[in-house]
Amino acid sequence: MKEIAYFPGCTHLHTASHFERSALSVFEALGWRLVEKFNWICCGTVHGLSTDNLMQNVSAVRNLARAESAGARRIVTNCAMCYNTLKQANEMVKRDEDALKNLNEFMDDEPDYRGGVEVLHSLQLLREIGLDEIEKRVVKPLEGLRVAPYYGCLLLRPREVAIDNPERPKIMDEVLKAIGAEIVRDARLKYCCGSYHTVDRKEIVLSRIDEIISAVRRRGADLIAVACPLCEFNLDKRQKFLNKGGLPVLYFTQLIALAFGKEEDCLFEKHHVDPRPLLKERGLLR
Amino acid sequence: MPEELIGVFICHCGNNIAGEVDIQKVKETINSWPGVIAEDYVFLCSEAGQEMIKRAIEEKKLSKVVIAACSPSHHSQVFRECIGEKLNPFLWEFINIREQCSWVHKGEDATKKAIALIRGGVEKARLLKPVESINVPIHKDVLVIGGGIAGMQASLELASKGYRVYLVEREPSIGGKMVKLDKTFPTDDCSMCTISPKLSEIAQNKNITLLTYSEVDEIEGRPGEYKVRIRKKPRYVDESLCTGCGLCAKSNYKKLIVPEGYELVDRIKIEREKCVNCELCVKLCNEFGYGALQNGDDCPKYDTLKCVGCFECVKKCPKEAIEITNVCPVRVASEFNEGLGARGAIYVPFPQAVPSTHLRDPENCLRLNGKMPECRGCFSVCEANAIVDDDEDEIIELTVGAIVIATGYELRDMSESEYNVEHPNVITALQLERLLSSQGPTGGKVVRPSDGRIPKSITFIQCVGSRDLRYNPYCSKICCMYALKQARLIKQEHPEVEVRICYMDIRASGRWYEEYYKSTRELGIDFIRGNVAEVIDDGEDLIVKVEDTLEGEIKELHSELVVLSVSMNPSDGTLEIAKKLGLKSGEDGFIDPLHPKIEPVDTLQEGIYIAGTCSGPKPIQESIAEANATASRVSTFLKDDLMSVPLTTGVIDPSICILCKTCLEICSFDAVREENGELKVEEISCHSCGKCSVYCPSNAMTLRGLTDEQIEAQIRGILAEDPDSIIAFCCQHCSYNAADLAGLSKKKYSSKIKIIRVPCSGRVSINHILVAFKFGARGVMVTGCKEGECHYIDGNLSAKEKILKLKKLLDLCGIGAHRVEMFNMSSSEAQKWVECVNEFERRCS
Amino acid sequence: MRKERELLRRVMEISGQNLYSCYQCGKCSAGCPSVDFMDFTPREIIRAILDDHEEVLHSQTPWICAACFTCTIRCPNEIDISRIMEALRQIRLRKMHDGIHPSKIPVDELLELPQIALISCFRKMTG
Ligand code: SF4
Ligand code: SF4
Ligand code: SF4
Ligand code: SF4
Repeated sequence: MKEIAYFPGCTHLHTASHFERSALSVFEALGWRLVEKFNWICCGTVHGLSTDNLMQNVSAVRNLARAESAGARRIVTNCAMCYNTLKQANEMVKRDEDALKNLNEFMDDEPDYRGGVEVLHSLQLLREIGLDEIEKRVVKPLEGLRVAPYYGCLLLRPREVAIDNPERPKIMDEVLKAIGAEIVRDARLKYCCGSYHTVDRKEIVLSRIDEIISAVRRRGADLIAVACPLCEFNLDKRQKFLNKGGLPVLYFTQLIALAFGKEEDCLFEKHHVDPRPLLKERGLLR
Repeated sequence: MPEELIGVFICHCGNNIAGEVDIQKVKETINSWPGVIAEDYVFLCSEAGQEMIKRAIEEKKLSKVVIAACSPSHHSQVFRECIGEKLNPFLWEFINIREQCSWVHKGEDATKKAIALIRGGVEKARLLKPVESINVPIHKDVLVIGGGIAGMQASLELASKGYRVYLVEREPSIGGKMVKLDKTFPTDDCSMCTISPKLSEIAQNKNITLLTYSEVDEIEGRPGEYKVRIRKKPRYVDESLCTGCGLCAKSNYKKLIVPEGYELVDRIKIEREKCVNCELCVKLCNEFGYGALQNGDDCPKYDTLKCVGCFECVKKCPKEAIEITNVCPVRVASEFNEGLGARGAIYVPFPQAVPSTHLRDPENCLRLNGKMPECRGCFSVCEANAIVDDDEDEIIELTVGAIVIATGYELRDMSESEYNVEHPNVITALQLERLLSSQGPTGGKVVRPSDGRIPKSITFIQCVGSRDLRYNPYCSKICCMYALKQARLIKQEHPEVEVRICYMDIRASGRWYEEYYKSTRELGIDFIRGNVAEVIDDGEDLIVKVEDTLEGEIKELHSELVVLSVSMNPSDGTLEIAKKLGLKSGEDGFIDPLHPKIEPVDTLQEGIYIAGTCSGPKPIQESIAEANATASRVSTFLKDDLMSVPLTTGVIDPSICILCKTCLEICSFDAVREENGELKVEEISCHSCGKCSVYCPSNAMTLRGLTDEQIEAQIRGILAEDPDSIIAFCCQHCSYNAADLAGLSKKKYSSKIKIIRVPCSGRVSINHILVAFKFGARGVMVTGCKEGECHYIDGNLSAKEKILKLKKLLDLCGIGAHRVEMFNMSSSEAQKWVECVNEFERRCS
Repeated sequence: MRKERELLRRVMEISGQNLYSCYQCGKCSAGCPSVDFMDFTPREIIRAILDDHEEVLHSQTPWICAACFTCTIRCPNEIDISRIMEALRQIRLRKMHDGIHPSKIPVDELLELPQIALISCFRKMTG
């Protein structure tokens, strides 16, 4: 078993527990254990974008400092939002020595962060493990299942933190192809889902997801795969208000777990649009 | 001996230098040094400035001169000639206080650094010695590299002046991009009609030797005598026999997009109406053992995978029912048609190609790539017996006096971008030219590649990859005009088609251009002022997302065809030749002229000239004008039979030489010879890099152009004024220019950095560095070309080796290994220069 | 003489972006997924700031912007427009003009919403 330091993020403890469970199960099947090596706190969820207020980056850098002092050279997270926040902060302090100095001074109760941690998203770890390895462990290929991999913002933008070409991402496509799924591509799969406006301006989110879901539907998608709990919430739970018949939305890790024969780790019941009828119809679920 | 007097001349360069450097203070300081007097002037390079220098040399009886002004890359020629009128042209020193001082440092820092740099120059000047010159012959033949319109025009012009021209082109035919165009702005006259007389003129001109499908492998030598090695690639068709009849290229293939770029098609077709099913052909084919024809119900069945193309069936069929459809069964996407339409494995790029000799592409030919060794389709039909299997690279060696580079441009690769170029209906403007051309794959019909239908709506997108820091920061200059032309040709032919142009600014500056723009607008074309954010694949159609910035409205333009006005990049050939010849090019990769305004077709190297788009985007008429100018500059250079070259070379003092032969081994140019028990440097072969003098253990080897004593004096001079400096040895070919470029873009860095210009990083010895430390330097950087790009083959590697050794020594003696470092960069890497000096400065403080 | 461009100065300072380099090309606006909800397009916002129109501080646009960075990765001048939007939000927030009040969110929503949605929303919309 190989090990890597793991950053679950708040949402994994609550509304996205099915993301975590399926991810841990997938990595275990691939011979990797994701270990919580340090006392992590909330990542901060958004990267501070103003030059004159470093406070917004404290929680992200605090996590990095703790990871470093726990001896972690790399940390992996499933949540695209945690990934983006941690990675942006990490890039910022690597670029800006003064900012790092100030932040270290401010966090005088923590050991200094020296910029020695690399932040990974679990898709990157999967790519590193290799598509062959993933393919080898497939017991139930998702043949005939037309999946639209939704990337959203946080894995692709801004450019410095992109895990793939931000205009033509392929990384999730490849992983899903390796488990036998058919890929549906569309430009809207990299569009924003409306993000936190789900709290204060639902209408923005509804218009966003309507565009995304209609586009992939036109291309014959059976379901959407996501890598972020907020995207999942907006694309799945918010369909309640669309009244257009549901299109299932699953975490990519659930699909891999399913292909690996680990249905028990998928917790499909946690979705608003129940994917089970579809999966049963395709003979992927009993 | 009378007291020597050195004159220092400080240029204000208008306000460029004087704006930051306190000239008065610099002057006063200089005047306090013994045996030196200073003068200043607003523009030293002007006629009046030069007069002042000459007068001062005469009146004040100056023995040496120091010029403190801009970079030697700009005006060293001017000052050399000016001073050369009064003194030996090597008794002066050029100190750069603009690019590497006033443009990158502020006020007091700039002033202090200027003083230190000038002091270095003065101390070096005290030790300058006259350098004599010898005369060498100038060869009269000219090499022109690149057979596009610029190279063609330069060749014709030179040939008509009586020079023998070798025109080398990498592609199978000359003509470049211009032969691909349909019509040209602003006259809308047919491109092929204008260029084809020139194509045939070149083919016939006795003074031009045309070498197509050829690469320049090596160029060595000096201005006036370059030894060139050219590799002519095999065509597998005998050039002397092929008549260009085109029988072998016969094909009925119609697809615009070859699936996956490669397809095998039927060679023959049996006409059912004529066939009586006598099965003679089946019998024949089976007798030969191919079995490509088998009995069928009412007509034989054909299998192209078994057919070898003997075409006996065609000849023997009593009813003449069998017809050849494709002599060569292989269809690959045509390069000439920019990937639209196909060609065979045997082909000629276009009907008027010069030469008309066909060629076989060994990658795709089934016989040559071994997929079907017995294939002989082309052999069967070629009446001239021109097709051959044994063919190989032919090496041609030439000696020429001058070289013209006309290697041109290519379109920037925009794949994986927001423009969705992967979609078949998103095409480049050059692809549209092929669709517009009556000789193109559609016979001049503009269609959507996906289904061959005439599109109802076409959207042109401007500035694709241009004026965009993520891609090319520059404007490609011609795209506005060609998009206007294309839009107008389409609109005139098909008024019903909706034609739109999304643009940021329409740049139509040139005679007749604005009028052209105006009349194009009036045809009813929709001009939308906005930069397109994204081209979205919407099935067969496309959605172009743009803000109409004049209306403040976001538009989603449904388009059946999208045409991208893609940015111009220097071609691979341009990048390669610049690297090979060590020419200076910008960050954009285009070759730099000697002066962007007043020497547009000269390069930094005498004897090498440029024409056309290898030095930047430009329209056809400018390329032609440049080519004519280039021809004229070449003939000026070639007018004398002899040229004088200064002997800045190495020289051995036989009285101290211990005959260890280190120099003989180390010289990369075999310039050191053993003669009558003595070692001698052959002046003509010596490149004056100075590596030998660094290695010579007995100090017998001296580089006349730059001696050890001179370098050390310069170091001492700088450190006497500013002891805490960092000495940066910069190679004149790369890092020195990178630092100049940093200055041009006003990128700031520490004024502690003091540059000493050397011919090559390999000229710097351990001793030079130790002298720097002895006189207080904070650190020493040695900067050279990238590995593998040294202009003297491996000077940078030998420098690297030395620095590694020295690091150990510095650690031992307590100075610290971190205080010396080797950096490699190219002449265009201004940002890298700044990063390197910043990093090093931090390390040394 | 033009008036002192105070707003422009503050936005440039907080965002670290040089707004003068903007071509007004509209590439940012055209790609913005939320532009339909905005009262001014991102490009118009930049023009207004350049002209020191204080009114932009009352525009809905920065509050609609969800910092998706689509504009940022495409601007031909590499202007980070997301940071300009942030600067406008900051100028307002620092004057205690919160964009959202937690008390207004229904309880059942609060239970359902993912944690990152709530935290990011409060971080973006409150001072
Ligand atoms: S020998 Fe080669 S070029 Fe000739 S017909 Fe066969 S495949 Fe084509
Ligand atoms: S090493 Fe350089 S300077 Fe010395 S002889 Fe050879 S070419 Fe000339
Ligand atoms: S994309 Fe950039 S240059 Fe164009 S309008 Fe927006 S901010 Fe200005
Ligand atoms: S970051 Fe804001 S302004 Fe830019 S595209 Fe996204 S929502 Fe629009």
